[in-house]
This record gives sequence, structure tokens and C-alpha cells, in this order.
Amino acid sequence: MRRRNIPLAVGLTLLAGLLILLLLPEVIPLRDPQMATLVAEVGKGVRTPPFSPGEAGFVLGSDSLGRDYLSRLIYGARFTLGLAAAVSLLRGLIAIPLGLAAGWHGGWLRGVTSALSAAFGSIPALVMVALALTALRATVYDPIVWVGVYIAAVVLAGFPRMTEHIARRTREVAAMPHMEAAVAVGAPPRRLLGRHVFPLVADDLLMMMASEMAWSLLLIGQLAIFGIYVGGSGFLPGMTGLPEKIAEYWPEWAAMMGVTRHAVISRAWLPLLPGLALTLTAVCFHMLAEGLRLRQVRR
Amino acid sequence: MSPSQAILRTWISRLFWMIIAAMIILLIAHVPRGFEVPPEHRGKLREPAIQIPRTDPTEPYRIIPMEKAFPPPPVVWSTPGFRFSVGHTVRGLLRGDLQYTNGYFQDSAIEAINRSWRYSLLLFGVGLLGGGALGVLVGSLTAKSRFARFLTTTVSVGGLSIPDFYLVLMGQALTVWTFHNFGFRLWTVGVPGGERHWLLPVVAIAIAPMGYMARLTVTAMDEIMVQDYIRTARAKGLHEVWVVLRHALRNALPRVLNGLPTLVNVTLSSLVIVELMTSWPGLGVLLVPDPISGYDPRIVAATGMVFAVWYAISDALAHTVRILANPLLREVRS
Repeated sequence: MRRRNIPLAVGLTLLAGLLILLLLPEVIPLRDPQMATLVAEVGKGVRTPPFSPGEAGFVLGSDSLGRDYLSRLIYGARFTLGLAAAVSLLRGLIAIPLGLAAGWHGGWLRGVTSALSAAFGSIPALVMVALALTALRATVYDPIVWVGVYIAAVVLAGFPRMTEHIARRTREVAAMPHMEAAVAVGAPPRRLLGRHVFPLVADDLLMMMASEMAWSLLLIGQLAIFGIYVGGSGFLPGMTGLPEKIAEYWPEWAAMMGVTRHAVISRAWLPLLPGLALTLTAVCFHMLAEGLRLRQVRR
Repeated sequence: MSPSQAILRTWISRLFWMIIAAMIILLIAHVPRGFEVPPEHRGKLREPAIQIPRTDPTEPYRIIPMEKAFPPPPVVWSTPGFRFSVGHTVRGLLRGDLQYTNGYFQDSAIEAINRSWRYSLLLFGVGLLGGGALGVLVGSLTAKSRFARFLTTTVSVGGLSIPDFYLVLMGQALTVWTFHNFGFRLWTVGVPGGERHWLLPVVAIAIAPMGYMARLTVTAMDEIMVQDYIRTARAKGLHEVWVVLRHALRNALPRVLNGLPTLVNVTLSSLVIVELMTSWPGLGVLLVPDPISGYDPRIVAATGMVFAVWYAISDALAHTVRILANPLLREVRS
């Protein structure tokens, strides 16, 4: 009997849900995620934000500035997935050619990739990235430049490990009998790499990219707990024009969770809802990676 | 290469990379001290750069980004400032008296670290050893029944996928909920100490190592349970528990221990987050800028360097155990 691949099925189902979430703002009219409601009538009284779920017409409540949480969560999928995808793709773009070359040619390139992997592996990625970004945050104010710095730091912390993995796998494939046969019939190195090595490594790459997405999402979430996130801050001006209330500007899940994490005691939905969205997305990519691994093992 | 040579090589390499990591941390932590506001911009009141519209409170209001309304003053790089700051920290560390600003007061960074590291080590040890051992136990259940396999897969995938920060948030929300509804507090939230304050950090830190070890054990057991010697053991009439414990698990263990270095990495990353979120009086809190006095590179650098040393030692120990548990190396030794 053919065994069902449950992790892959769960992963694909969650991925379909994520795609729907990405397309939802184009299909249904949503409130502007930056539009704040400063006061609202609730029952016989008047209330100021944050509004609880179901209060004042906010299905999932509002944040402390009075912005619709449902709308911010739906728009947040674009920012969070975009960020994680950018990190994973950039890691892949650097690690795949470098790993293939290091595994194939060996020599000094292999030495460099191994040294980089050992250097970046000598302290947990979270501690290293958190230290670097905490230090740089004091000097980078432009939100767009900050996104670049943030992505660069997260990519740098992860690509050496990925490169090392690809190099090791390339070496394994290069030592297989079919490679000897290809060399014996006189195939040039480019053909050997493109036709005989890459297709075997490619199976691993897909699994690795799914896994990288999951780890990137977790790292983005952990950094937000440190107060390090992208998108800058938005504020409500007080009577003097100076900020009265400050919160995250971009509706990015990790930022929404990180900024509101202390509110878990009094307004639990504020950190729990974006945290749940982030967790489910990480579970989706973990499941996809696990499902792809199972499929490979069964093959 | 003999096991002792492999172990020696591991320790020397970890020592080398530990020194490099400590130096990188020292330099990175002091980067903000290298930037300074030019004299002509110092002491000026920050005025809003744009006209902030005042609206009727009953009308919707569009939020403006802070950076657009209050652009920060320009900064320039100053190598002497950076060098002075790094030098000050290095001299303080060598003297054993590195002062830093903690809130409104001056405190010794060495003493602050001395007060905290035991708590961090305790949590790290419980998470790594307790979670890891539980993971191996749960993973070895997979050989018993279909339900056990389902349970193991759920625990391993769940333990790996559910982030530590979300577990802590859920735990905190749960205790608030039980207190509101039943007047019963599962654990204290938000302050160090109190009723069962240790329970949530321990559960949160142990869950990832447990999931990781369970997954490794399941993978190893899957391959071992179809081997001929397992069939032979069963044919001899040995009870299934003994087959698993004496034959399968014993042979799976070297492969499971291969994952120890990764386990150390995962647990140490989790440690920082869990300590920060549960107000655990450990080292993790020292890495975060103080809300009153702001960012102080001296304490951040000193704590980061302690983490580098800690990680190097744990990683080298994990590799040592892995080498000693490798049957191929044991054969070389004999």
C-alpha cells in the first residue's frame, strides 16, 4: 500500500492558505492598514483604542493606534513573506553557485567556505545578528536603508552554513559511479556539473529552500522580540504635536508581535494573533521541507 | 585519525574560532560609539519636519511614519571615538573592573555577569539535557505502535515548528486566563521569582531540543528496525521493549548524538529569547539595551563574549561526545 505523505499534504494546504491571504486584498475591500480610529462609540460610552475583537466594528480588534488588526494581519502576509523570501532567495543565490564551485573544484575555495561556515557557526546566528543590528540601528535611520541592512545581516548569518551543505552534497555526488562513467566518455566539466551533478543536488535544494524559509521566519520573529524589526514606527501626535503613542508602521507580523509582546497580560490578542500567523507560516514551510524529505527517502 | 587526535583538533579549532568570534563581537558592539553628531547639530530641539495635521478625533486619521516626521540629526564616523570606546572596554576587561550604566546607576559588568551566568547555565542545562533525553525517549517509542509513531511525529514536528517566543506568549496568556476565570495562577508572569516562575522557561526551552532529538531518533530507528539483527532478536523471543532498548536504541544512539552540536546551537539561541520574555535573571537580559540608560556597548560586548566562550565550550563538548560515540572511531582506538 502506498503510504500517504501527510507532512507534504499539510504543508501544501497551508501554502494554499497563504497564497489566498496574499491575494485577498485584491479581491475583497479591506480598511486601510494605516487608517486610525481615535475614538469610537461602544454601547452608551465612548472608547479609545486599542479596541477588543468585535468592538466598534473591528472584527479582530485594533492596535494601540486604532488601526484595524484584521486588515493589518492580511496585508502583513505580503511584508513578512516578502522579507523571508528575500532572505532565503539571497542566501540561495550566494550559496548555490559558491557551494557547487567549492564542492566541485575543492582547493582554496573549499577552504574559504569551510572557514566561513566555522566562523559564522562559532556563535548562534541569533546572538550575532541581534548584536550587529542593535549596534547598527543607532546609526541607520532611513527605513529603506534599514531594510537593506537587516536583510544583509540575516543573509550573512545563514549563507555560509548553506554553502557548506551544498559543497558537501556536491562532493558526495561527484564521487558517485555515474560520474566516473561520464568522465570516462569525455564529458567536459561544465556538462558534468550541469547535467550530472546539479539534477541530483537540486532535489536537496528545494527541501533546503523550504527549510530556509522556516528558519528565516523564526529568526525574524526572534529578532522582533529583541525590538529589531523593519518598517519603522508610526505615531499618534498629542496636543503638542509630539508623539503620544508609538507603534510599528509597516503591518509586518514579527514587528506587530514584538511591539505588543508586553500587552499579553492585558490585551492578549495583540501579540498572539500576529504570532499565530508567523507560527503557522513557519509550520507550513517546516512541513513542506519534511514532506519533501520523506518523498526523497521513499524514492 | 585516532579519537584523541580528533578531539584535540576539535578543541583547538573551537578555541581559535572563539577568539575570532569574541573579537568580532567586541568590534560590532562598539560601532555606535564610532558615530557622532557634528558639533553644529548638537543640542538642537527636534522639531517635526512636516506639518502634522490636527483632525477632529471622531474622523479617521492616517498614521505618519515617525522617521518622516522627526528626521534624526546627521551623523559622521569618528575613528578616534570608536578606538577610544573599544580601548576603554578592553582595558576594563583586563583590569576586571568594567563599569557600565544600568538605568540611573553605574554597575560593574563583570559583577552583573557573575550574578547572572549561573541562572543561564541552569536553564541551558535543563533545556539541553532534559529536553534532549525526553526527545530520545519519545523518539524510541516509534518502534512500538502506529499511535506511538503518530504521537512521536506530532511531538517532533510540533517541537521544531512552534517557535519558542510563541510558546512563551501562549503560556503567559494561559496563566492570565486561568487566573481571571478560576483564580488559579499556573506560573508568575512578567516578574522574576514568584509561584512556579521556573516552569514556563523550562518548558519553552526544552521543547525545541526535545523535538529535534525525537526527529533524529525516529529517523535512526526507522533504518535500524528493519535490520537483520533486530529480526533475529525478535525470533529469539525477546520482549519488544528489550529489542528496542538493547539492540535498536543502542545502535541508533551514535547517529542521534551526531545532532548534538546543532542541538547546542538551537538551545543557546532559544535561551536568549526565553530569558528575555520570561524575565529570567540570566545573561540574555544583559544583551538588550536598558530602557532608561539606552544602549551601552560595554555590557553588550562583555555578555556577547561570554556567549562566544560558552558556545565554543558546549560545541567542543558536543563534538567530543559525538567522536567518542562513533563506533568507527572506537574500532580505530582498539
